[in-house]
Amino acid sequence: MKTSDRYVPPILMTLFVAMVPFVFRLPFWIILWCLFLWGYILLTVKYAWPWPKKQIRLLLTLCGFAGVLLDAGYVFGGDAYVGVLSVMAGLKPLEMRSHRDRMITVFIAYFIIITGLFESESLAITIYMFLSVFVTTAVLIHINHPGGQLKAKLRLSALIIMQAIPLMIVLFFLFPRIHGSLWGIPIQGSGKTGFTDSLSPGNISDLVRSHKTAFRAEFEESIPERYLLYWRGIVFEYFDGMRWHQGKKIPTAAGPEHGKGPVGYSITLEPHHQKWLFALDMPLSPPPIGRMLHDYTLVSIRKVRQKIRYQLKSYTSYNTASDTTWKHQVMELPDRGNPKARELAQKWADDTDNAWQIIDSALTFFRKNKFIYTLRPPLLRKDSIDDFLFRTQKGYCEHYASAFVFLMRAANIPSRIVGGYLGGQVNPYGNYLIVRQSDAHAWAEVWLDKKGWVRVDPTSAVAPERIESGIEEVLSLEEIPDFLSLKQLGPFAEYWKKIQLGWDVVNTQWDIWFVGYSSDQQKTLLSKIGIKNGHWKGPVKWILLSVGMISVFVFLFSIRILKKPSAKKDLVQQFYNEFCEKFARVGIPRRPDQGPSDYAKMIGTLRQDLKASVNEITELYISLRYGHGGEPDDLKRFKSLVKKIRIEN
Amino acid sequence: MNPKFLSIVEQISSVILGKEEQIKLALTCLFAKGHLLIEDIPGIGKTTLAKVLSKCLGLDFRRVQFTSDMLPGDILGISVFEQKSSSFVFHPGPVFTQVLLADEINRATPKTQSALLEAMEEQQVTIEDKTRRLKSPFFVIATQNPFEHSGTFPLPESQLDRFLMRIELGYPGREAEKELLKGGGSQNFFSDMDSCLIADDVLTIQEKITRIHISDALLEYLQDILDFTRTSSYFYTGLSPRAGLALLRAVRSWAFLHGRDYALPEDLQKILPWVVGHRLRAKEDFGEFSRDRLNALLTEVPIP
Repeated sequence: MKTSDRYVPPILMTLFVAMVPFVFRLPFWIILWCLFLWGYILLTVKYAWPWPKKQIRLLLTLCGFAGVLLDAGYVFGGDAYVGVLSVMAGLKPLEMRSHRDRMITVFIAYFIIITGLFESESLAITIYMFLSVFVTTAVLIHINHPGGQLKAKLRLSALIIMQAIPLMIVLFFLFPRIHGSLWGIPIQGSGKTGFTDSLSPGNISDLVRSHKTAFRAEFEESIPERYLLYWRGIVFEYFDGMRWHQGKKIPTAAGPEHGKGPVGYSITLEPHHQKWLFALDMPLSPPPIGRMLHDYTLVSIRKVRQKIRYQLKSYTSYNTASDTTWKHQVMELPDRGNPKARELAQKWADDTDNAWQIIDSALTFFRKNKFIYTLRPPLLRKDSIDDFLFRTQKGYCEHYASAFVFLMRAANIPSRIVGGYLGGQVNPYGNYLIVRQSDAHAWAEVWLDKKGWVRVDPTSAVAPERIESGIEEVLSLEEIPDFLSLKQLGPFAEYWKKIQLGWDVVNTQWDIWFVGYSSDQQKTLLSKIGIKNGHWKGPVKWILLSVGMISVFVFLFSIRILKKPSAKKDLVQQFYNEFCEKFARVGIPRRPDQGPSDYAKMIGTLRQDLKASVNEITELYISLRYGHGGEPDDLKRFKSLVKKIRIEN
Repeated sequence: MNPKFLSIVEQISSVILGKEEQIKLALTCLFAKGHLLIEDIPGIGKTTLAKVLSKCLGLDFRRVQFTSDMLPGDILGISVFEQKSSSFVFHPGPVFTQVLLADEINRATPKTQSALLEAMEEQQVTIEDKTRRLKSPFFVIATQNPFEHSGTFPLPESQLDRFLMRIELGYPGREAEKELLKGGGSQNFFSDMDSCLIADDVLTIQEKITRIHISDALLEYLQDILDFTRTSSYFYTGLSPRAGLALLRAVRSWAFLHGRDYALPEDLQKILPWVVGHRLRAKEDFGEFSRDRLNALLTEVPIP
C-alpha cells in the first residue's frame, strides 16, 4: 500500500458515519451505489489495482446525476439535495489521489453531516451530528499530521469542538433567526398525518392507526379532568350529502365572553402542514402566531411546517350565548337524501319543543339500538346517514358525530361537528400531556338559547369508556392497531413505556429550549441587552467602531512585528515550513525533531528526482538560518525556489 | 568532513579498526579542549586509542596506571632532596605532559582522583606552595571499567562533570575483528606512524573552533533541550549551565571537524548523548540513561 493510500480507509469511514442517518431516507440504489464504489476503492488500495480512468469516472458521474434527477421527479427538495451529495460522496473517492482531493472528500463528509438537519432537528440527530463531526475532524487531523498517536488526534478533535462551543452558543442566540425553516426547505420525513379540511366516514379511524405525536400540552397548574380534555381543532359546518366541510372562515377577535376557571397551558405542535392550531375547549384569545375564527377554532398565519410552541388560556366551562355570528350554514342540509333520518328527527321535533329532550332522544336512540363502536365499520351505501343509523349500526366517532348533527339539523336545532383530539397520555416525568394521532376524535356542538354552543359527544352514549380512559380500553383486542398492543410484550411493556416517556421528556425540553428558539424570542433577548427592534443602529455603530479600532491596533502591531529584525528570520522559517508542508502532503513529513540536512537526506533517498532542488533549498535555508545570513538576495532566491518546487504524487 | 581531519581519522582507524565514530568523537573532544572518559572492559583498545591519538596529533604522551595505593604525588610529582646540591629538587610527575592516559581512574582513592581532577580543571598544579603550569595543550583521557566494582572508588557526579564527553568503544565489528585477528592494525604500525599535526596546530585549531558561528535559532534549540531536561519528569536533575557550555563547545568542535563555520541542529543531536550521558540520572532509579533512550527523549524536543 502506498503511504498516501493509507488515508483512504479512514476517509471512507467518515463518509460512512456521515451518511448513516440517511440510510432509510435515501433511495436504496444510492446506498448500494456508495457501498459498491467504496468497496471497490478499498480493494483498489489493498491490491494496488489501477485507479478508475477519467472516462469511467465521467460516465459514472453522469449516470449518478441522471439517477437522482429521475428519482426526484424534477422536483428539487431536500431529498434531492442529499441524493446529489451522496452520489458525489460515492464518486469522489474514485479520484482520491492527491492531498487536495482527500481534503475535498472530508469536506463532503462535513456537508453531509449538516444536511442531517433536513432530516430533523431532534435531539438524537443533533447528538449524532456532534459525534460524526468529532470523528471527521479527527480524520482531518490525521490526514494532515499522519504521525503521532490516535489518542492524541481524538483529543485534539474533541478540543477543537469544545473550543467551538462558545462561538456556537453566541451564534445560536444572536444569529438572525429566519421565519420558517432554517434552510428554506421544509423539514421532511414526517408524513402529512392529521386532519384534512373535510370529514367523511373513515377519516378519523385512519388517523387512529398512527401512533405519531400530534402535540404536547404543558399546563401551568394541574392537568384538568380527563372528560374536559377536548382539544378543538377544526369545525365542520357544511354537509354536501357525502362529506362535511369547513364553513366560511370569518375571523373573530376573541373567544367566549363568559366562562369559568381559565386554564393556562402551552402547546408544542408537531408540523402537520396545515394551518389549524389546537386548543382546549374554549380558547380565550388567539396566540400571536395565529387568528381565531368565528367557530372558536384557531388558525396559524402560515402553514405549520415545523414544530411550533404557543401559549393559550381556555375556559373549560363557558357560555357563548351573546355571540350570533354563526347564523349561516349550521342549519342547512342538502335538499334530498337520507329520508328516514329526517323523518325520525321530525318525529322527535314534533313531540317536544325542548331542545334538551330532542338531544336526549337522539342519544337514547344510539344507546337503545345497541350501536357498536368499532375501528372497522362496514362500508356505507348511498344515503350514508340512513344506512348507518338503520342498517349497519357500527361506526367510529365520526359516524356518530355526523349522524347526530344530521339528526339535530333535521330537527331544526343548529349544530356542527368539531374535529380534534380527546384526552392524551400524561407523562409523569415531565407532567405534561402527549396527544397522539390515535387520540383523534370528532364530536358535536349544538346551539341552545341562553347557553350558546354546547358540546355533545354522541360517542359517550355508545362507548363511555372512550371518554373516561382512552381508545385502548374500548376496542376489542383484534381491532387494536399494532402499536397499542403493548400488552403482548408482557412484563417488559412497563419498562418500555417508561423509557419512551422519559425520552419524550428529554426531547420535549430540547424542542422547547433549542428548536423552539424563534425570532420572537430572539427579539426579546436582544431587547434585554439593549438592542431593540428598529433601534439597532446605535449598537451597530458601536460594533463597527470597535471593529475599526481593533483593526487599527492589529495593523499597527503587525507593522511593529514586521519591522523587527527577527521578522526576516521568521520569514525564512515560514518559507521553510511551506517547503516541509509540500512534502508532508505527499507523505514525507518532517519530524519535529528532524534537522534540515537530515530531512533533505531523507527526501533524497525517497525521491531521487527532487534531490538536487531539495539540496539547493536546504543549503540556502541552512545558510540563512544557521549560517552567517547569506547574500542579500538569498532570501528572495530561497522564497522563489520554495514556491517553484512542484511535487507530483 | 574536512579532508584534513578525514585523513587523521583514516590514519587512526587503520590501527583501531572499525571505530570511526568514536575516533571522531575523541577528536571533537580534544579540539574542544575537553577531557575524555572512556568506559569499557579491558582489552578493547582504550589505551591504543589514546596512544594513537597523541602520536597522530604530535603530542607528548604519558600513561599512568591507577591503583588504590597511589598518592597524589605519584601523579603530580614530588620534591626530592639531592645531596649533591643539598636542596630539594622537583621531579615532575606524569601529569606534566600533553596527553595523559589515566588508566582505570576509579581504582585510585578519592584523594588521588581529586588531585588529577583539579589539574584538569585549572590546567595547573600547586605543589609545595609553588604553582606550576601544565603543558599546553593538555588532555586527560581517563578510562574505567564500568562492570567491575570491587575495590573501586566510583567518580562522584561533580567530578564526572569535568569530562566533556564519555564514550564507549564496544566490541569491534565482525569484519574489523577478522582483520585484527589476521594481523592488520597491529601495534607494529604504531611505531612507523607519522604525526599529522604538531602541537601548535592543535592550539590553532582550538582557537579557530571558539569562533564557530552559533545562530540564535540553534541557541534556542539548545535552550529548549536544557529546559526539557529540567522540566520533564524523566530526569532526577536537569542539565547545569556548565553542561550547556560543554554542549556548545562540543557542537562547535563537531561542526568544525565537518568543515563548516556554523553549527546545525543535527550537530547538536549527534554529540548530545555523549556529552550529557554521564551528567543525567533517571528519576525512577537514579540510573544512567542508555544512548538509545537519550536519543528517544531527544525526539520530544522540536527544533524551533
